[in-house]
Amino acid sequence: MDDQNNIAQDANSPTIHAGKQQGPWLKLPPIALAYFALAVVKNFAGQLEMLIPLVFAGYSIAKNNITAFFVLSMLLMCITMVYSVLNFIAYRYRLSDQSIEIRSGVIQKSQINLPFERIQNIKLVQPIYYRWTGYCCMEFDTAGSAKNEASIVAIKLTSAEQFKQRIMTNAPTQKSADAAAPKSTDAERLLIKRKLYDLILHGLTNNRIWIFLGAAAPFYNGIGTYIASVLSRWGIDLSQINLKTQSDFSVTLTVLTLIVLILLLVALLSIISAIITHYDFTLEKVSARYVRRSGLFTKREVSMPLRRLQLTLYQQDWLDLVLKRVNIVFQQNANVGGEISNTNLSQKILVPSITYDEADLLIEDAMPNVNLRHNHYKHVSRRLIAKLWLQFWLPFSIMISVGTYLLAKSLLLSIIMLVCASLLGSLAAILSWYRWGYYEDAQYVCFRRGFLGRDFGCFLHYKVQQVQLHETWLMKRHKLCSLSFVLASQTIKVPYIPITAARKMINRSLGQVEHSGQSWM
Amino acid sequence: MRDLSNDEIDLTTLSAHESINFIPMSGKYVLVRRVLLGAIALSLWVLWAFAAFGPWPMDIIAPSILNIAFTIPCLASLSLVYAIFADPRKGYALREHDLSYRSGLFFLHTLTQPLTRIQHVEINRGPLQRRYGLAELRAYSAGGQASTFAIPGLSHRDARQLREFIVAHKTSH
Repeated sequence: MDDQNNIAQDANSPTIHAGKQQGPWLKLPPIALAYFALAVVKNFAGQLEMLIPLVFAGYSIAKNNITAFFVLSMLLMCITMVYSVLNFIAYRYRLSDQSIEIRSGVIQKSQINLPFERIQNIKLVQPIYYRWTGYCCMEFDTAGSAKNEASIVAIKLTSAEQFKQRIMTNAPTQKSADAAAPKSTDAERLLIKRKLYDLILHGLTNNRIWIFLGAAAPFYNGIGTYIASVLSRWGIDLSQINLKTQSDFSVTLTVLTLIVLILLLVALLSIISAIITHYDFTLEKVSARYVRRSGLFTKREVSMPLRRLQLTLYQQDWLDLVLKRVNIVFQQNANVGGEISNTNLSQKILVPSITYDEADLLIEDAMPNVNLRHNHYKHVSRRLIAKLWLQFWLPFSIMISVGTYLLAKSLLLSIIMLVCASLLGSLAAILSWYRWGYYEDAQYVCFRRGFLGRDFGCFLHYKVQQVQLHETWLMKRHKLCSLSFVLASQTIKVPYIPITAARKMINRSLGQVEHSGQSWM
Repeated sequence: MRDLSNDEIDLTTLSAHESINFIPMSGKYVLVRRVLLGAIALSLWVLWAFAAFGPWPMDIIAPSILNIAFTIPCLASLSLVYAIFADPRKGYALREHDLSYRSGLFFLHTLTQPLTRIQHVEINRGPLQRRYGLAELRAYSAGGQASTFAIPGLSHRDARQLREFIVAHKTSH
């Protein structure tokens, strides 16, 4: 393509040396010292079992002899600093027009030689301490080993972008894919930008509390005592509450207050967590790939070539339906090199809380002519209601009613509970059935599912890895079946559809997979 | 049967999924499984009977434990009965561009794996399978471990031929 142009242009930039011969070995800017120091600390913290006796020893020393503790901690800091400086000095990298070479390590030396065509993906990560320097960390994903990741620890953002551009145009597979893509332009095109308000909505509608709780696990004890102290300041003393002496009314009031407080806290935490992950969210399109950047503390960049997109999801929880917002998820193949990648988060792009119009535009860009929201979805068979009810809601109701009987010893109450629970169950089953829908055309398979919320999903016929048809003898009698499409990112199961429709979809998918010759990635 | 044609194919004349003819598993596989499961069930019954009516005082093993343990040989017998009816219904089919496998008695599953999406193939043979010349063919796709496409109970010769066909198909497409 325009390799010559690129090389000529790159020759002017200070850090990139192109040409047939190898460039000189390059050193890192001083800011990289911070990275190495932090890496040493992280490495140290990673070995917890070694750390615990150390902390105890430190504590007992500090109790008896504060000077010794001071000297010891200074010594530790010195070791950390010396080690990071050594790491910093030992690290160097060089680029040629074919590959990148990285040498690193003080005690355990390593040299990585990475040809451009083996690079699958490039991530630019900007930790918070790089934010004001214009540097970033450049990580290379290669197919295969997830552990042995190569990275340039610190590089000017502009050079990194240029360099990335060059690698992407050099990689032969990428070149052909770009040539095939209809809207191949080199310019970055901003697709979506999220403001703080959108993120607050996202935090409210998508309960991210579990992610937050997982991250906050080490501080649980402290949080508990803090909450108790705050409550006591408001005149609520947890140890003073005695259910027998208080009147029913005040007990109810206290419990209600507590519930509201907890809900508020949960919503707040969820919003904070949404802001931390999605702050300053941008989604850009750069020559047939999507690039997502976001993050409050550490800026993360995920990039996904459009040809690797497997499944697009259009998700709305019930609160999203009320607020008229949508989350869009682009999934790429979850398993690289035969094994499921454990860094699952970096394998998909989530676009948080966008409006219907924005969502339609985005979907249209990723999957042209799909018309996801307005397709005429066919309902699945009504027998799904009976199946859901018998399989899940009936046992659930019986359990509730038995539980009520055991607790309250009242036959009447347990019968009332049974009737109520099974009625609610029927409603739920009907709602799930109502949400289920499927649609296919010459290009796409689309589906709709959900319960209180609503999801749409869609994928290209030729992305299918395997098809599975499931029938029971009862379904067979009514000419029904369940159809599973195995994709590289997840398996989609459409339940209780007429066998003729399923066969039609299978034949179309298999036909496209086997005869279009189009690759799934 | 397995010539490597690569002719232009009209999509409308493609043989449809519903008209696939499945080849049943090797007769040896069905027989070996029946004998094996039967032997397991029988030995479990013998063990249970020995525990229940053995030459020791009645109260060494509590009757409740015996009653619970009774389910184990029952389950083994049930799986034998299931295998007797379900195994002959298992079948596989090779078309020009995909491989299918059907199984199940009450819950019928029909899996179809396009050959172009297969990443690698392997042949698995346990000690019994080696003794009786049987093999299991496994095809891995990008769908992950959970959707590994496996055909048990092939004769070793068929399994090798299938593997060769798949590999040849991969290199020719």
